[in-house]
Amino acid sequence: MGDDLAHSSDADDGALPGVDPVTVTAALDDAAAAERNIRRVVCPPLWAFVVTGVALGAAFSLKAMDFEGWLILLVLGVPNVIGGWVQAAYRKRRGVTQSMAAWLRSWSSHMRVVYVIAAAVLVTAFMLPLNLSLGWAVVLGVAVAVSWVAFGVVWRDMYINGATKR
Amino acid sequence: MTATRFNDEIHSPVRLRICAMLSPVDSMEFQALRDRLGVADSVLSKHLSRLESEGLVGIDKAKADGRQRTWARLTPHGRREYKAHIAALREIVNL
Repeated sequence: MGDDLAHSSDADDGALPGVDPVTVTAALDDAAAAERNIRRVVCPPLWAFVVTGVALGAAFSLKAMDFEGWLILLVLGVPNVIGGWVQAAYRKRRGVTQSMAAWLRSWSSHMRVVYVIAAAVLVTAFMLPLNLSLGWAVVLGVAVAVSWVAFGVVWRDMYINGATKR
Repeated sequence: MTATRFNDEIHSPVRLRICAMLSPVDSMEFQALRDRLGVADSVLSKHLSRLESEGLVGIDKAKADGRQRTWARLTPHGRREYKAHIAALREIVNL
């Protein structure tokens, strides 16, 4: 089975005949389809993102990130962690491993930048003292909005495009 | 900025798809790769061996459920070469 990498047939179904645009386009399509196929297996727990978004929104609506806000974040944030574990187990069962670094690496560079900046701003903001000024409220609001957009793009790429373009 | 470099080893249809599947993940198990590629064990073995001999793919063995499992992963060099190859293909078709 897969353990014997040494045994093989002599026939090489390898090289494409030339590099003309038609065969190159077909090769690119094949590669893109293969990547989409795998991304459907390794998709992050999007429902957990939604839960986190709701949690952030709820906490934000409490204006001053006080006890209730943090409580909501904690209670609703737990499913995110559990979702991550479940997803990791699911990937392993499907014969795939993927770290967060690999997940971020697999996105286009601009998407990665948006995601990372949004996450960094969010994390930093939540480390700040609890009594927020209007300025910080605006910063937080923008950060949450950007991260929702980022998650929306992820959702679109993986579920809508991935499901319909094959 | 991604370098553009056509790679004859990666360009084979099966090997290109192997690299494309390994690109968004850390590693994939042999059987998962084989099932998604729809090729025989021997064909996948041959292509993985070739990619491994070029230093593009790493092969790891691990025991799970009492069975030996083979996992494949793109090496850092392989990842760079795959990206450069895809960039070269895009350049050829002016995408």
